Amino acid sequence: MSNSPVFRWDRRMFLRGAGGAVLALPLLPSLLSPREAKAQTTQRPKCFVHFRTPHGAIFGANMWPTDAALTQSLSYADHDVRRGNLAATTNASGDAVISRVLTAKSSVLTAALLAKMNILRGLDFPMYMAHNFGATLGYYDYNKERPGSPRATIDQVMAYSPAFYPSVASVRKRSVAISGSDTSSGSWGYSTPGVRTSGVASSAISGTESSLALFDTLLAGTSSSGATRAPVVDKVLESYRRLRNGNGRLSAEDTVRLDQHIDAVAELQRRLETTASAGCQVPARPTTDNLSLRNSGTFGGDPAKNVEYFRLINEVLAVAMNCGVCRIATLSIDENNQNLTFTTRAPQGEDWHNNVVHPATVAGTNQDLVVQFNQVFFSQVFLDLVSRFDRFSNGAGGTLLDDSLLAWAQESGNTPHFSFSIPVVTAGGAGGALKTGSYCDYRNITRKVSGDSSTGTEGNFLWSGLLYNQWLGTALQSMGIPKSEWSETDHPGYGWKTAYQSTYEYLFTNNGFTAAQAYPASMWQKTGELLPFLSP
Amino acid sequence: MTLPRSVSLLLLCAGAVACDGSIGPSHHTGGDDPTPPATSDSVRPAPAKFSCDANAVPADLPLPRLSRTQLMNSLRFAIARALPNEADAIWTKLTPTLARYPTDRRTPAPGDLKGGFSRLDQSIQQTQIDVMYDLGTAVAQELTSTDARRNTLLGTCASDSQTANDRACLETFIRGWGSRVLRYPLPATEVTAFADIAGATPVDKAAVADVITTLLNSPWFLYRVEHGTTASGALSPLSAFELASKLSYEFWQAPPDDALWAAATDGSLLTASGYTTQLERMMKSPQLRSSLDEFVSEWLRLEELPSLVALRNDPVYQAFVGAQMPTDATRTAMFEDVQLSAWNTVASGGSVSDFLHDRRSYTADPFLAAIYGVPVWNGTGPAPVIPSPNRSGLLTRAALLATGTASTRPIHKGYLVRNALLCQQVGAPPPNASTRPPAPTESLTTRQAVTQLTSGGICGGCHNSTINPPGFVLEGFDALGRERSAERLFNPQGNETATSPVDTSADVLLYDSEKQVISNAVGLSQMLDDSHLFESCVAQHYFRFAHARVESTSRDGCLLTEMESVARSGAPMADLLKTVANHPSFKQRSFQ
Repeated sequence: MSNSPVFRWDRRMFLRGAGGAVLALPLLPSLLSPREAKAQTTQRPKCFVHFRTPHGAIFGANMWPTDAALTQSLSYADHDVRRGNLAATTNASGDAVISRVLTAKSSVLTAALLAKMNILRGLDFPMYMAHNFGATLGYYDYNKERPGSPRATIDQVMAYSPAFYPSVASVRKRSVAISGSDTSSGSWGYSTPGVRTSGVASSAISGTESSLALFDTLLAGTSSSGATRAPVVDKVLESYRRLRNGNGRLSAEDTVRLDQHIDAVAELQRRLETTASAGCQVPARPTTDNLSLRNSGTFGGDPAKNVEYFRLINEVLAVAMNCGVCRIATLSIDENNQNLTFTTRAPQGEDWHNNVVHPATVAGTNQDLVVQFNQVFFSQVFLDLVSRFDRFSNGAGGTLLDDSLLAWAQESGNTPHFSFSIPVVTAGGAGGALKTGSYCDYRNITRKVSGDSSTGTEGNFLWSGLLYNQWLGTALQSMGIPKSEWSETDHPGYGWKTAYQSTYEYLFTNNGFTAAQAYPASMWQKTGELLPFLSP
Repeated sequence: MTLPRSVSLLLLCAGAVACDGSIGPSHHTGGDDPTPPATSDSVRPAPAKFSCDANAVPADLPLPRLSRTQLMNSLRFAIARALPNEADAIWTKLTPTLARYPTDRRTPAPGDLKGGFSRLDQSIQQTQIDVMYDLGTAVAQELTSTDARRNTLLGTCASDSQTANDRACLETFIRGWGSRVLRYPLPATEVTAFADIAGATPVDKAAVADVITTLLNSPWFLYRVEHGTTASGALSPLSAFELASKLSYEFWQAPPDDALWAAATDGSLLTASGYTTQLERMMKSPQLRSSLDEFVSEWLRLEELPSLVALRNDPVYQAFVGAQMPTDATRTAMFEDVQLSAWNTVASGGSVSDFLHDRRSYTADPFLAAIYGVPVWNGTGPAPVIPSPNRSGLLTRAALLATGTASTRPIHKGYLVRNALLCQQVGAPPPNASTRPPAPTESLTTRQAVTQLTSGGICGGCHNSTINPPGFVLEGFDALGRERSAERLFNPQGNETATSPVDTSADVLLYDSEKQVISNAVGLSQMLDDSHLFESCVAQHYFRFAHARVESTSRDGCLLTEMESVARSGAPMADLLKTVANHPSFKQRSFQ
């Protein structure tokens, strides 16, 4: 597999191009008062990228540093939460090691980068979740079903927030969802995009899988001479308005659907008329598509090709976000649909799920495979995009990464299907909105919960913690989205205030307490706050 | 994950379907096929599931969006109508852009854990609009890429030396091609609006391309726009062209052809005889297969069959399969075998019951033909009848038996029978359910492994009485669909450790107290048929497919009752399809 970049870079491309307000010569922060410096910081546009990987099922001991890394304690909600400085040791191979999974080349996972990251342990979906696509973004789709009270995912809340996109003049797409063609993107918007009162759409946002299609959508034509014929999307829009406002009989529901379509055409029109700001260096269209790679016969079971598949996407995303033509992306990874495991064992239908992940609840070869999947993903996919962001100057002495929030979360916690301690790994300080460099452990170590026959030996290492809702609210706040756009009437944070299903109550009662005690009202009242240790 | 998993879970029963009313029993057997083995006493027909409230106004789907399949067929139609000789080449060239159009998502109906029809995905998404615009642009550019192509579209008026006729030339094209593509005669105002897009150079290739792009992105192209024919009232009869489109997309997944268009144009479609003529013609057309295949595939969840080659390097699977490994083509052939059975049933006048009992093999795939013990079938003439009397028809088709593993998955099959074939809902799995399908071991048969895992505790009540029995009855066939009387057991290295007789006997409780000891697939098929629950279930599923929505039992009861009655009566299966089209609700639009 070639390691040569698809895009050719020149020096100018490392300078932050468009994005908005940074074309003027940067002022050194030291010349500004703290308030002015903060104001300048908050004016820079931010980016949000979220990766979701399937299954989780990584032993705590393989995912996290040892408890010795936790040097600070704080009483929060109803229990003590802990943190320590995020640090890595160097192993004999010269790799930087936070844990078995969080291991990467020391040239990539540097001390400087660690200072820009957080790893968050002890964030729980407040219900038994089983398989899901959207839970990590706030659509609590237990067993892939529609939630009892669905919410638009945070990426879509951001995408249509005037606070996130004060102007969309240079924005090609408000957000992109990357996923296999036959799988859910896990990203859910409102029926009328951006309109909360219209309710959550009945289908997930359609995903894009092809890196070339992504390039064409986000970057093609942004640097053209403008000699091509003008789009006729305005004429398309007119044709809808003629129907909408004409004499033909329509039902009220017909009209609602027409309005939805008209909004989408208007969004298309806006995108087609968008040109990237001056200074945005768009490379030539790549000649390789990740889909052709995936469709090659030897893709499944070839970790290098699996990585390359995402590297081709990352290259487009990094350039597009640096140019400001899109500033939100979600990537939903599904090993079956995309035929990848980052190991030499191909997914083979249900084999990976049934014969690797579930047996991985006891130590051995299968847990090692799960570790390998996630270690390769972390070091070569997640950190690949992180590093790309960190190579772009933000024009203010920092990098694009500093103004962004890149996050990786998993379908389940340390045992398959279970919702305790969903791992969250982040990079970027969201323009100073988040303090970074921490390993945070939000578990309540006095609230050990019960495993069962499906959780193997790892079932002895389950605790309840803080609410995942609070992490999602933290992400929204870090992106500058006003609470008025997402807070709830029954708690001050984001998302469905659900509760554990009664049939799963035994997870708690087996140990002498209830789910309501594990996630008390006082904890729900904290959901509008930034997570502990993350306030700058 | 995309492959089925919940079916491998331990399940709790949520209860069977609620029924009321009754209807007399009747069923037909499968023509000249060999008579299957006799079974014990019949179960009684279950009461009818649906009832009619004559005062109820049927529900309706607002502004129906063409499904992905329908949209693709419409694009092909548009291209073929413009440049028939070059349509295939153009279509091939468009493939990368076509692939970007989103797939319609299947969502299980409320209470179901699996299934659903892609037509029910009526969401309007930004990606659809974005990609459709690109598609429209790409098609337009292809159709106008050369002067010759432009001239074919517009005629000689586009290439003559005059310019005074150019606008009229373009308008004629819009009035002709545009009307067919948008499926209604464009009024003058619309023709003018589209022609104005071309500006001062009406027959310039780029200008014509702009017009085509806009036409292909029109709401009339992407949706079935139905204004009805009255200005007031909750219900309004459809116009002839609206009706033509509804019929055509319903049964052919494509725009109206010339004959249907002509019937709409001359108004005969709005007469009883004219309508019947068109409906009968459509039902006999091979184009019906497009919708029938989709219905059958999605109803029976055929895509749940995993790859038959994914585990080719697994020693147990290798040992189980034997010397010749199936290919992906075999998997496709298994799907087609079921689809062709449905098609053959409809085309030959067979009933829903006949489809259940159809014992012919419809495959040209040697591997699958060998499984059935028949010669390959080239698609012409009578398909060979599967000789084994233990093959009961649908339940023993390889697509419903194969699993892509060495294990037969009785839980999966039991759930399919309950949920897809009987429309009985089974509750969500209990919290401590293992998601690993129980598999045979070196010493335990599949049935023993399943029983060991599911017979005790809270699992047992549901698994023992509801889920497992239909799956156990089908243990007479292995995980490739091969008939067997014994199960070979393997160690992880793929060495055979034992051979154990299969136990296919089970107490099958269908509904209420209707219970029988069943010991083979033939008996199970007969039991399903005798209960009439299968027929009711087919009617319910076809309603959802046909209407692209889940039924409202209160508002749609009248049509559902008719469909159920037809399905149970032994009438031709084609009549079930026609019942939808002949019902008054099909020819009208609700504006409530």
